[in-house]
Amino acid sequence: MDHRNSEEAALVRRIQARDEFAFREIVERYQSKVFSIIFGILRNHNDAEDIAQQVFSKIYFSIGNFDFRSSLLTWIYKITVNECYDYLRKKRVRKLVYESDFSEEDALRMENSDTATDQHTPVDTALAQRDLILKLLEKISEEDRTLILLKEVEGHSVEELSRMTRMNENTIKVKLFRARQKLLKAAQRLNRSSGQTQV
Amino acid sequence: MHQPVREELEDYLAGGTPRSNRFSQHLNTCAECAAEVGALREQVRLVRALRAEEEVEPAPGFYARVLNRIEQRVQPSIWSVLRDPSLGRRIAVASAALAFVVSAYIVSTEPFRMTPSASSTVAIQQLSRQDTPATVAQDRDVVLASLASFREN
Repeated sequence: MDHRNSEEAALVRRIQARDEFAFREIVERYQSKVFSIIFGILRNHNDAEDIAQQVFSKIYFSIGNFDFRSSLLTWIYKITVNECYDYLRKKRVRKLVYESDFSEEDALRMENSDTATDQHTPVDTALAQRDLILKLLEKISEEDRTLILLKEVEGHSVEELSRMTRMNENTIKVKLFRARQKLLKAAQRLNRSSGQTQV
Repeated sequence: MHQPVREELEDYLAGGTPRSNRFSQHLNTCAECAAEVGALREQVRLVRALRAEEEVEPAPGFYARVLNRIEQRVQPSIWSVLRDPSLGRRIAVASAALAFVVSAYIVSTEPFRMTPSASSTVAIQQLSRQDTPATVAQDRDVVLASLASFREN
């Protein structure tokens, strides 16, 4: 698919010419997607709002650099994920329970419940695994991370990824394979150093 | 990972059925590949857990807040204003012009020096006519100055 001649490309060119109506259209078109991506990673509405604003601000100032080599959605997705990881690096999140949306009352109830004394409760394990996979994804390149997330989180097929990124399907498969291998190796290094559950 | 598995890995991880029997036959006979595929399936499961269960909407007024964020980035500080080349030139020219005007004003209003000249008589007489508190010493000085200028003439 030629990303240069699509309706979306025309919209991008209008934003590049500082057409505010075009920018508003992009925001309204993608705000839910961006918000959902961020919330899926961080699981916190307040943080999702802050980062989503940052994402669209970055889109506004960087749209001049968009070169139509990929689809607009791919480009926005990459910015969104990178902003999430920038946020995580700054905050140094280790225990996602502190970033969750639980009220103080719920959090206290969880701490005092019988299940809270069991170190291997489903909730703790799920949060630990989430923390782990986020940490591992941070170890691979931006491009690999975006590709893996588009494939597994967004559910795009290899054919769709090929159209979105303008790379042929074999290249996509090779890149995915290598990204997965890097994640496995990063998990093995982490296992050796901390003895955590292998991924 | 061996080629028979690698070729159809993405289809397999996407939940599809491998196109040939080679994939499953190889996994049945190769423990190394079987272990690696198992690890990759677990990896996929964890990554997919990053998907939000349903689409999440921002609170109303999101676009206005985005514009606000953009405006905060655009608003210049005093230092960024001074760094602007065209504005910096204008400020430099204006400063030079102001310095010139101030200097000219200072020079033009600088008090007369008491040097011997034809105009000294006029100057002394002007001084003597100033409404200054009259003291004996000042009166004497005025008289002496008048006499001095009279002699020169």
